[in-house]
Order: sequence, then C-alpha cells, then structure tokens
Amino acid sequence: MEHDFNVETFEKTSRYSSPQWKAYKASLLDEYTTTGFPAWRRSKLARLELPPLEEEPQLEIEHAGAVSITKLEESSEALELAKKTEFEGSDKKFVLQSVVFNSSGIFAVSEGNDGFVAIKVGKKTQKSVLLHNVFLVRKGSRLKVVNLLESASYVSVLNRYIVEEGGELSVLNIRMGNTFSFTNEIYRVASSAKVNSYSIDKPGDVHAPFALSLLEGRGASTRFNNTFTASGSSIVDSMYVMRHRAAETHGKIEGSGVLFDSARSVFRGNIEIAKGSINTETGESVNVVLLSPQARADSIPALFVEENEVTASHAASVGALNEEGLYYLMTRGLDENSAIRLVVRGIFEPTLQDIGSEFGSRWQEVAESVLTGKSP
Amino acid sequence: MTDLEKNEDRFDIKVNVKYRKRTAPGLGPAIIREISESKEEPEWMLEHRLKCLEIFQTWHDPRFGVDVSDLDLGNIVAYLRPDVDKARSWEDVPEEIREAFEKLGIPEAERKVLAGVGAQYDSEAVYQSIKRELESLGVIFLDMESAVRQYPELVKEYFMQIVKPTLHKYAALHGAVWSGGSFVYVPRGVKVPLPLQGYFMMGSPGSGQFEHTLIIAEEGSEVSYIEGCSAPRYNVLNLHAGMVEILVKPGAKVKYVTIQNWSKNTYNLNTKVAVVEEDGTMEWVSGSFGSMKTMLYPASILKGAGASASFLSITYAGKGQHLDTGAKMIHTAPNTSSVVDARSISAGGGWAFYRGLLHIAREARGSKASVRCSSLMLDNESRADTLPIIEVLNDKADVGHEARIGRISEEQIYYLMARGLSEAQARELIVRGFFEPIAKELPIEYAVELNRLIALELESSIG
Amino acid sequence: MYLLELENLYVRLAKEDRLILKGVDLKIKPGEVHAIMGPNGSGKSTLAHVIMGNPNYVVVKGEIRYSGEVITDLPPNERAKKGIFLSFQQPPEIPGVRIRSFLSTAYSLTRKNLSLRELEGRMKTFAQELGLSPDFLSRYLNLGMSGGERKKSEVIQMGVLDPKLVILDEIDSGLDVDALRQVSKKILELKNPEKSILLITHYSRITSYIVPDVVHVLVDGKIVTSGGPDLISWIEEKGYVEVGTA
Repeated sequence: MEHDFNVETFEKTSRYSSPQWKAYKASLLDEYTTTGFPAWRRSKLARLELPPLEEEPQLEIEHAGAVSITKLEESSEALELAKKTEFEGSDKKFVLQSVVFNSSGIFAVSEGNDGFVAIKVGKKTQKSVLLHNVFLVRKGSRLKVVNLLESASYVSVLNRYIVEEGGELSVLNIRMGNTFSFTNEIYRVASSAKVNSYSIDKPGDVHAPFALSLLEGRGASTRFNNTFTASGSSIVDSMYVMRHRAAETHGKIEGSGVLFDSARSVFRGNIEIAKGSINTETGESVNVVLLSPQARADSIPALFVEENEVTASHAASVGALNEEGLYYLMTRGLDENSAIRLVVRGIFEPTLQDIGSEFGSRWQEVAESVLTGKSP
Repeated sequence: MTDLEKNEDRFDIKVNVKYRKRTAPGLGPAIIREISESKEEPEWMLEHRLKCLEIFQTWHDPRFGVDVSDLDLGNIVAYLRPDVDKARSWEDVPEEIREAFEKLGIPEAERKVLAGVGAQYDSEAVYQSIKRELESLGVIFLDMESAVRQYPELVKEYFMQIVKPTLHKYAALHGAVWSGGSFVYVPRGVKVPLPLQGYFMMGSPGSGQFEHTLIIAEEGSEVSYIEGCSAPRYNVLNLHAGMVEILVKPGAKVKYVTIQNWSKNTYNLNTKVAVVEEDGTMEWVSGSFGSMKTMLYPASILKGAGASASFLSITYAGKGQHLDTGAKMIHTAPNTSSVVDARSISAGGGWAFYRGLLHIAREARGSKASVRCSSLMLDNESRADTLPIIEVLNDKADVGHEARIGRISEEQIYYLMARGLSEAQARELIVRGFFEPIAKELPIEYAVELNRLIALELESSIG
Repeated sequence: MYLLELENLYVRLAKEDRLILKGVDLKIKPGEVHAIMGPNGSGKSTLAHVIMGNPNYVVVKGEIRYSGEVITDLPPNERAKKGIFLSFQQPPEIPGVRIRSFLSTAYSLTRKNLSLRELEGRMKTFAQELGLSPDFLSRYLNLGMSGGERKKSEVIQMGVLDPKLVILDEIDSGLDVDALRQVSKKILELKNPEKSILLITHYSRITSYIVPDVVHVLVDGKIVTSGGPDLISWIEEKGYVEVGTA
C-alpha cells in the first residue's frame, strides 16, 4: 500500500489528547510505521487502500443509568487500564493503528446495575474511521454496550473491556456494510464476572473481527456469539479466542452464518486451557450454511489443552440448507424462496431472541434487519 | 513374555551386524552418486535423486509442528547397507538379523496369516517373499530396488508422481536418498486374500531410514498392506523420512495398516499419500506409539467420482514425545466421501497434536465428510491439542466435525472396581476401550500387540 | 453369624463437609432379604455405595463388617472379590469395553472354577432368559443402552460373578412391568439359602416381586423404624413422613 498514516497524521489526531496520552501514543508510533499491513491472502488485502482519515468522526452516543462517559484520551485511569491490557488482535498493525491515530473514543465506566451505552459511527463516510474505546465494569456492577458500525469505507476499532469481580457485561456489536472493517476486542474478566458478547456481521467487502477473552479469575465466564451473513464476493474473516487461566471458568464460542453468491467465511475459534484451570467448562460450535455453489466456508476450531480436569469440546458443521425442511415447507404451500427465507430466519432466531431479551426489541429489530436484509 | 517384563521395550532389540557400505555422514552429490551406483540404478533414477537433493538443500523446514532444531542432518548417516544379499528364505537371512525379526514375531506371522513379507534392516531389504499363487496371478511384491531394475517402465511411470519432491523439505530429502521399501502391483480384478507386510527396522545409531513404498492397485483389485516399524534405542538421534505412495484405480480397494513403534530418539518425518480414482476405496489404519517427534499427515486425494477414504488412528504420546499427526482428506470429485476417527492419549508429559485438513473443492458436489477427534489426557502434565482445518467450497456438501477432550472419570473407575478390578486394571481397561474401535480394524496379532504396547506405556507413564 | 453388619455408621461426602448417614445400624444374616425404603435424599443410595466402598464417601464413625471381618477401609475391588455385588442405579458408560470380555476379566479376578467356554455359555443363557439376544454381550458396557438394558446387564454380571451379598440400588427404575418381572425372576432364581439381598428402593413396587424378610425405613440418614413386610403397606398408606415421625 502506498499511502499510510504517518507523523503528520499523528500530530493532527493527537492534538486533543492529554500530554500523557500523547506520550503513550507517540511511544507506539515507531512500531506502527515499521510494521507492514498484513498480506492475508484469504481476505484479498492486497487491494486494500487506506482512505484519508476522518479527523473528527461523528460519534453518536447514547447512554443511560449509572454510567459515566469521558473522552478516552482525557482520562488517566483509562490510560492505566489500556497500558495493562494485552496488545493482541487479528494483526498488530490494526491494533496499533486504532491506538496511535484514533481521532475518537470514549471511556465508559459503570457503577450501578443499569448502565447502558450505545455508540453509532460511520454512516456513509468515505474516510477512515479509527476508534479506541475502553469500558470498565466496576466490581459487582452491570453494563450493556451496543456498538454500531455502519457503511464506512474503512474502519479500525479497538475496544477494551475490563470487567471487575462479579461484574456483568453484555455487548452487542452490529457491523454492516463497511467496505473494510477490522475490529479488535479484548475482554479481561475477573473472578465470578460474566461477559455475554454478540456480534451481528454483514460485510460490505472485507470484515475481520477479532475477540479475545482472558478468563483471569475463578468462576469467570464468557460467551461469544457470532452471527453472520455475507453475499456478493465479500468475506467475514473472524477469530475468537477463549483463554482459560483460572479454575472453574466457563467459555462458549458460538458461530452461525449463511453465505450467498461467492461470499466466503473463515471462522477460527481457539480455546486455550492453561494448566491449573481445573473444572473449566468450555466449548465451541459453528454451523455455516452455504446457499450458492460459489460460496466457501472455512472452519478452524482449535483446542489447546494443558489441564485434564476439564470439559472441552468443539463441533462444526458446514453444508446446504436442510432439504427435508425445505420440502416440508413447500408441501405446505410455500414457494422455494420463501421456504429458504424462513429456514434461514430460523437459524438466526435463537440469537435474535437472546438479543431481544438482553437489549430490548429495538435492538433485536436492528439485528434482524441486518441479517435478513429488510430495512428496519 | 519374560523378555517383555525385563525390558521396558520389547522392540528394543540391538544386534551386531557388519556393514558392507556406510556412507560418510552428511549429504552431497557424491554420496548420492555412490548410493545410486551401488544399487545399479538406471540413469533416470540418479537424475531424480540429484534433482531432489537440490530441492532439499534450498527448502526451509515446515513452519509448524514439531521443533526439529536439534536434528543435525549432517550427522545422520544416510545410507547403510547390511552385508547381506536379499534372501528368499528366512534360513538364508544372517542369524543376528533373523533373530531380531524373530523377536518381533515376523517369520511366525508370515507362516500363519500373511500373503507376503518384505523385511528391511536399515537401508536394504533383507528378505522378500510372496506366496506362489499370487505370483502366478501377476501380483508383484518386491523390494523397491529390485523393482526399479526389473520393472523400470512401471516404476518410472509412478515413482514420486503422487508425492512431488517439492511437497516439503523431507519429501525432497527422501527423494534424494531413498533406499529400500516395497513395490506392490496388483493387476486388474485380482483380490489378494491375505495382507502383505513390510517390516522396517533401524539397527544402527545415528542412521536414517528412507524406505519408499509404492502400491498400484489396478481397476477392481483389492489388497491390504501392513507396515511395521521399529528401532532399538541408542543415544544418537535417528531420522525416519519414508514415503508411501498409493494409487487406487477405479473400483479398487486398498487398506494400509501401520504400527509405528520407532524408538524414542527417532524423528519420524514421514509422508503418505493415496490418490483414489472413481469408486475406489482407501482405508488407513494407524497406531503410533514410538518416536520422539513425529510429523505425519496421511493424505487421501479423492479425485474420482464416488471415491471414498477412511482414516482411523490411535496415537499414544508418552513421556518426552511430541506426536503431531492427522489426516488430510482432499475431495476434488463429486459424490466422494471420507471419514476420520482420530484418537489420542497423552500421558506422562507427552504431547499429542491432531492437525488435519478437510478440503471440499468446488467440483466435489454431493460429497460427505466427517471428522471426529477424541483425546484422552491421563494427567495434567500432558497436552492434547486439536486443530482440524475445514474448507468447504460448494453448497452441496455435508460436512461434520466433532472434537472432545476427556479424562478417565472416577465414577468409571469405581464401577469397574466394584466388579473386582484393581484401580490399575480399571484404568487399563478404560484406555483399551478408548482404542477398541480402531484396534478391532487391525489383524488379530497386531491388536494383541497393540494391547501389549498400551499396557507397557501405561505402566511406564502412570506407574 | 451375620453376613453384613453396620454399626453406628456415620458417613459424609468426600468433597464437602456434609453428613449423609447419621448412625445407621443394620445386621443381615445369610439368606435374608432386607429392604431399605425411604424418601428421596434420605441417604439410601449412600448406604449402598458405602457398603461397596465408593471413594466419594467417607466413614467418619462406626464400622462395616462382612462375615465378621472389618472391611471399612477396603477398596471396592477387594470387597467385590469377597462376594459383595452392587447393582448400580445408573451404571456409567465405558466405551470400547465389551460386556463379554469385561465379564471374563472380572470373573477371572474373583472366581475361577468355570472354563471360558462354560462362562460364555452362562452369559448367553442369562442374556436369553432376560429376553436379550446373544449379540447383547458384544455391546460396549452400558454405552447407549436403555434404562432396561442397563439393569439387565447388571443382572447378567451379578449372575456370572455369583456374589454372596447382592445390593440392588433402585433396580426397578427404568424398567417396565414385563422387564421388572423378568429381572426379578432372574434374581430370585440366582438366590439360594446362603445369599442375602439388600433392596434399596423408593417405591414399593419391587417388593411384590422380591419379598423382603425385613423392611427398614431410612429418613434423613437414620433408620427410623424396622419391621416385617407389613410395614410396606403402612408406608403406602401413610407416606414416609408420617412413618418417620410416628
């Protein structure tokens, strides 16, 4: 790629940062400029072009309940948390990019049990949108977060979630129609804390989500639920990592998707169980349905296990739509297309139900419209 | 049996054998020429070897799997030729070598249940025999060198056509220094009623074994081949980089059974590929117990419509072992099917890694595939990893995958103890049960051997 | 001389500090049939498993004697060899281990007077008498079996191992009427004047097939009352709570 962000971009974007934040970002600038963009063949990244930076992207933020919102780069607590959190992602380049050049981001802290934050960004911009957000769920509190990224040319997001002891976090990511989107999420989950994270994905062209949960304390739990649909020649290239580092932790990675045309999905789920994480229960299940002879689904479920007192499994299936089901519906008078639509809707149904009960019908409808293509 | 009790390893058999030829350690064109000359090979084979050497010298190590950094190829003696000529009767095999094979029970098994046996000590075949009836049906079962000389056209047509030397570094190494192995040719429609067997032993410290086995099953034919491997233990590292190429022609059926028990200082970097044509069937059954480090991914390329393949394997990774194995199933034709059932045990700090690939190409419409991986971890010093890669490129395929990590439950042990078994007996029974579905696919002698190996391994790893 | 004696037995769970049996006394003579009845959670199953030596339970006080010998600290396999047999309420699945080969292993460890062929014949006969095909013996131990099949497999094992003390833990659960009749009939056929049976049950149904000489009612870890078979109809009528507090 010829064009890349540089010192100049940095100076422009960091002008509102606190001196501490600016120093932190500056310390990473070198590494960014010397790191090349990844050459993922599967994602055809060779044709990636970086549009000019949106210097002040319009973030639409809604929040309610016992939650405080600050501009990320004005908070020194956020800086401390950012420094302490793992620097992992689908590729270091994108993680660094979000941190060094982000022109926007929030620090949200929940204190009570009714916190809610929604961030909407990207609507139809031709520029690059870079975001870095940090969410802190304090001891025993609850927070719900909705991230909506829509119709941008280029998006690179880093979200860091710190969930303290006994905290509960629910996240709903809706990412649709972005030409290139690279999202990286890191969850640090303390003892008895709970994370429930949904992602609804529909790529414009290339969408590469990455999520990592660090189950650090006894009894910590995380569920990743990823539902996707892709058409045209777009690709969803996702990676979910469940890292069990303590006893009695629970993990669940669920993936389900439907592919049309010559769309492609790559679903990588890694379950890592460190020695000593006894009585851990963890599993992964992926189910992808192909609706076109040109579609392609790759599934790479990996288990890395160093402890034997655990329950760990994975299951994957890839195939056509249940033909018997289609036939049954057609004997009841549905034409083939309506029957297909109905069965596909059925695949998404359980996730949509869960989203409805956690985030309310408004967000359930948004998720449904993304997945089924109807306007909300 | 007393042998068994005294030695921890029944296959730890050392003999004193005089060597007729021993190449200087290390590799270069001169050694390759020397090997080729002493085998009285045709020119094309020498050229093939030299080309492979070139590829080997420029190729990098695989970027995954086991750590091969302490493998010093310069010190692995490429070619060792025992001072014997190939015999047709066990009486003619020198006593020390015959004894070594007898301890493994090979001559006895041949009398009872095998259609033919080829035995290889280090680099050269020392024994080759085939029942007369089969010979008269046109079945060829020869050591590879003799096949190159006696059937040059046939061998040239297929040799390293299925596995190209560019596949990976050790395939190229193999192509350069291969020695021994078996050539099996089964003519159209011939069904070989009993299994053929090749038995490979490494007898010298710091040596390499690079046997090449090529099996051609013509249309509608059937054959089973059993491969056994062992090596005594020395303090120097050994390298095994063999190759198996199998061509299953339309409607033919090949079963390939391996019991691998290389000594625990062996690098086992092996390559096995079968190409399966229309309505052909390939069955792999494999038991891996030995070696220090293994990288082996038997591949089945289902390139004819209706072709099928199965891969059943058990792997036991004990103390100091890292066994990185798995099946590759490549579906490139319509209505093909494959089944993988891979089971592993890790114990005493061993590391069992399942690394597999299932690829359903765009053309492979109507194909079915299932992959099942089960790992039993006997303690928390050990590791069990599973990485099955699944690629599906059309919408008329049916693909399923399941993996599970397990341990022996206290409830199971208690139940069996309530029926009178001791705790150790209960554990052994459960482990054997875990292997049973694979073991039952083995010829009975091998199943018995397998049980013995499991008992030995359990004894040494869980005490 | 008693075959089994439990004396002031206190038992807790191995993994948590919770007392399940709180001073149980029980004496069974050779040839006797005893029934332990009680509501769910009263400790009936614990009692069965403690006699067998399940490591999930710890005897904190009291002792277990079998033919006069203290067996409180013996592992389960030693108890099995002495002739104690427990038919599990939910026998676990042991994949890959066939009933036939498992039973010959277990048999060779306990009794040794039958040849392999005789043993095979006996297994086949038992299977047949329980309405199972001989193929049943080739199945993996309890794997994918229905409730009824599991119970029949337990009875075949009991028949082959020929124990002196048979503990039947909820043998009637998962059995329909026909299967219950078959199984009870087989158990009674295997019984002789030397053998004792300890029936553990929640429902009285089984006691009309295998009639106990003595009935004990276990409530909250203690035997609250004992008596003859008449006790059963009293329980039927009043329920455990009333019987327990009476």
